[in-house]
Formats: sequence, C-alpha cells, structure tokens
Amino acid sequence: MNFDLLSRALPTLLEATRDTLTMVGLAMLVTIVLGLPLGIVVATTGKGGVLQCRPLNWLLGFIINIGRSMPFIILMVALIPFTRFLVGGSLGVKGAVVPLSAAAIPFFARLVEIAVREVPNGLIEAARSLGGGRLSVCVKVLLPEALPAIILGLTTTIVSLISYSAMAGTIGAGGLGDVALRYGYQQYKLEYMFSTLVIIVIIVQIIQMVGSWGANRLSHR
Amino acid sequence: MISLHDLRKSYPATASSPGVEALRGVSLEVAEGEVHGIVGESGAGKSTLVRCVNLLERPTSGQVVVNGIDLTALPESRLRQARRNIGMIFQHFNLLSSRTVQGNVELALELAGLPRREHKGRSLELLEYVGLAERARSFPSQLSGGQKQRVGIARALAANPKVLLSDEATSALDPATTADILGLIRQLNRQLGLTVLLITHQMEVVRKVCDSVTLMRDGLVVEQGDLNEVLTRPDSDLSNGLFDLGPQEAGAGLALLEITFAGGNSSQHIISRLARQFDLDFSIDAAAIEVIGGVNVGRIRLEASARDVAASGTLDWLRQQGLIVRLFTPPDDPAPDRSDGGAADEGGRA
Repeated sequence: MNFDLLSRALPTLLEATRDTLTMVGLAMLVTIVLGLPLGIVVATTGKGGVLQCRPLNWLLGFIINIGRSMPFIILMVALIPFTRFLVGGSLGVKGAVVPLSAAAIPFFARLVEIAVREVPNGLIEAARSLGGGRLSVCVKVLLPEALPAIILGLTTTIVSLISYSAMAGTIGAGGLGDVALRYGYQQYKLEYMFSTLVIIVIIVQIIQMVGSWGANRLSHR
Repeated sequence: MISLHDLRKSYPATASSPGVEALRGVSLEVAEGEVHGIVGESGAGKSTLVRCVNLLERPTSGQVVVNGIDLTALPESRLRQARRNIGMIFQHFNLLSSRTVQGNVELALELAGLPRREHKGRSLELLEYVGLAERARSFPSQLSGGQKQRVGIARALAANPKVLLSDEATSALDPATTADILGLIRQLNRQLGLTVLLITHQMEVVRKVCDSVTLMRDGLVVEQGDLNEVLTRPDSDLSNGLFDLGPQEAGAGLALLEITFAGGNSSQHIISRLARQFDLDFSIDAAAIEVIGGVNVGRIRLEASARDVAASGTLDWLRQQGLIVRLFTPPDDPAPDRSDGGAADEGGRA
C-alpha cells in the first residue's frame, strides 16, 4: 500500500465517513428522542415505581425484548417496507436511519432503565416528602441523578450504531461499511479495507472519550 | 399537632416473602412544640410509623391527623400540599448528588412552588441558619456526614413546616456530630416552635432531646409517656434503657441504693445531705443523669455498708424527699433476697 493508492481512495473514504457519521448522528437523535422517555417509563412503571403501572410496564418490556432479540441484519431487511413508507425509499442514508433507530431504541431504553433504577430510592422518598408530584420526581430527581450513567449508555449505543451502520452498508446504505465491502472485500483492495478500519477505530475512540469525559464531568458522587 | 389513631399497616405476602404486619394498631399524640421520640429495635415498625405520618406509606387502616388536617382523607394533590408542612430528614441524608448544596435546598423550594426569583435568597438564608452558607457551592460528596445532615435539615425547613420528622437522622453519625445535630434539632424546636417526631434506636438521643417517648415492639406501642414520668416507673423497659446503670452486683456486706431523680427540687444536693445527715460513707457505683428542662433527671447507684444503711433509716428519709429508691442487698446476705421485692420491702434487712 503506498501513498498514491491512498490518495486515490481518499475522496471515496471521506464521503463514506461523512455518510456514516450522518447515519449514526440522525439515528442517535431519533434514539434519544424516543429511547430516553421509553427507558424512563419502563424504569418507573414497574412494581413500586413512582409511576407504577404494571400492565404498561409489561407491554413495553415485551416490545423492547422483541426489538432486542432481532438480529440487526434480519431486522433491517424485515423493516424495508416500513422504511419505504416512512421515508419514501429504503436506500441511502435516509433509508438506513430507520432500521438503525429501530435497533438502537430498545437497546438504549434498557440502558436508560438500568441507569434510572440505580438512583437510590431514598432520593425519591425525599422529593415526595417535600411535596413533589410523580412527574417532578422523574424530571427533577431521577433524570438528573441518572444522567452520568445515561451518557455512558448513550456512548455504548452510539458505538453499537456504528457497527450496525456498517451492516446497513450491505443493503445499499452507503457509508464506511459499504466501502469496505465493495472495494475491500469484493475487489480485494486492501488499502480501502484497512483505511475504513482505521477510520472506524478512530471514530469509536473519540466517541468513547467524549462520552466518558462527559459522564465524569456530570458525576458528583 | 400529630395525632395517630389506631394505625395498622400490613404488607401482603408475596412469592418471596411472607406477609408482614408492620403496625398493629398504634396510637400516638404529639403536642405542639413537643419533641417526641420513638424507640425500638429494628423491625419494631418505627420506620413504617414515621412514614405513615406524611403518608409516604399509606396505612392499611387508621387515621393520621397533622396540624388539624386528616391526611388519610386527602386526595393526592391536597396531600402533596399538606406534606410541605411536614419536613423530613433521613439517616442517609438523601441529598441529590447532581446538585450543589444550594441546589439541594432549592429543590425543596421548586417543589413547594416558590417563585424562582426568591430561590437564591431563601436557600442562602436557610443555609445560613444551619451554618453552611459558605459551602453553598459544594457538592454533597464533598461534605462530612454532619454537614450533609445540616443540608438535609435546611432542605426540610424550606417550606416553613410546622412538623419535623426525623428518621434515624443521627444513626450514621459519630457521637460528637450526633450531639451537634441533636443540638440543632433542639434549637429548631425552641426557636421555630417546630414539633418534632424522631425515631431512633439510640436511647441517648431520646435522653438528650425528647420531651416524651414511645417504645415500640412488634408493631405495637409497649410504653409511652413524658420522659420525667417514664422514669418514675423504675422497672419499665424504657427507664432501664434510658438510664441504664449496667448490671448491679453488691459486694459482701455492701448494699446498693438506687435513687431515681424524676425532676423536682428533691434532687438538690441529695448526696451530700445524705452523707452529712446519716454520717454514712458512700461510693458512687454508677450514674446516668441528664438535665432535662433545667432539672436533674436520671438515676444514681450508691454503694454503702449494708448494715449502716439498714440501721440508719436512710431509705425512709430519701423517700420523704420524694425520690424513688430501691435497695439491693448482696445475695449472700442471710436475710432478704436482693431485688425488687427487697426494694419495696424495708423489713427485709440484714
């Protein structure tokens, strides 16, 4: 592998990197918007929770488990009609965001649930003794206290999203996975294969660093 | 101020645990401005009881009246309102780790619905009161246990409550800090007229701050009364627990005199007067005395020659002073058995 080969690959790699980051970024936003409340609701509707409602808890748990038990590659294909309906096509970055979110939401929701359950019960008791209602307990106590752990959970989720996004490349989503497969695997161009790997490793390292730093900043335990 | 009527609380049996009856008909009255202690071993139902006062736990049956309001009859929204009149502090402080000291006090103000612009001033004022103003920007994890409890107290006071509930608030603290916090609770009681209901397993806490006391066992009230009055029951579990003199054992030829001071002037200089009047030599075997409301309350155990004590009429004189006296003579003495019988019965002399 020499410099010449690399510089020829560069435009493709840059575009693929941009696509991957777009896919993962959009899916991340959707995941936060839907997964965070879902996780909080699941954590608080269980037995003895502030919003106790066990039928709802059971139902949401059931749905999350279905999402979690589906291998991504199958979920992705199975969702194609739904994706078409939602974004008008199943290809490209837009098409990938739907299955990526669908896989990440239940995953992230479980991590949020774990984080919220870790908040000591005494804090909830204290807030209630101060006249706090159920909703303010969730917003003013559970969420801020669980936030450092939620940030770490989000970091883990994003890293998973990156690996899923590579898989999405196989069904025409573009991005780094697509490049690695098409050029690296099918055409046996090693420079593409290794470059994508290096780029992914760098992205993951940066994301994990930022996530850990953020969690530490927020944690005052 | 606090009136609990026939409270019962049972937890139904589940797959993993048998059903528990935590409270089996507890009634309790705490007058305005009083500090009332509830003591008992763990599992006696103290924690459940105190949580029933602000309905963090809803009793299975019975009535909770605080400040003239029947809390058990209130709908959720009115109950939240009523809870703001009842501050609560906890064994493990229960401060939010994500907020600063000031932020923790402000949480109470937010939940009480105070206008936002008043938060800063009010929270600093509260922190000033508990002596922590300079730590306002610290996080709870940077504070000592005693400081954390002070923040807890400031938070509990935020909505100007009439009642303070204390759930083992000093159990996680060392003795010096415990004394500090108890002093602060006393101060709140005196300065703000706060009615305090505290639960503890430390008799010392009751002795230091309580006006009245309840002993619980197995979800029931076993004994109840004003501290002074409880003391006049020399054989009760409460007085033995509160003013524990340790095991008594008189040496050969020696008698033990256990004198209970239950308030009043009679305790003044009693020992020196006793020695002078009867020309007796005493040694102090054990003593547990506390100043409650300016008078000495407690017990003292003296050791003296059994023969001298018997001959001198000391017991009669002490009883004439209004003191409760029990006499224990050594077991190897020929005449009476030691013990309570001997205490009541002066005829049993050697």
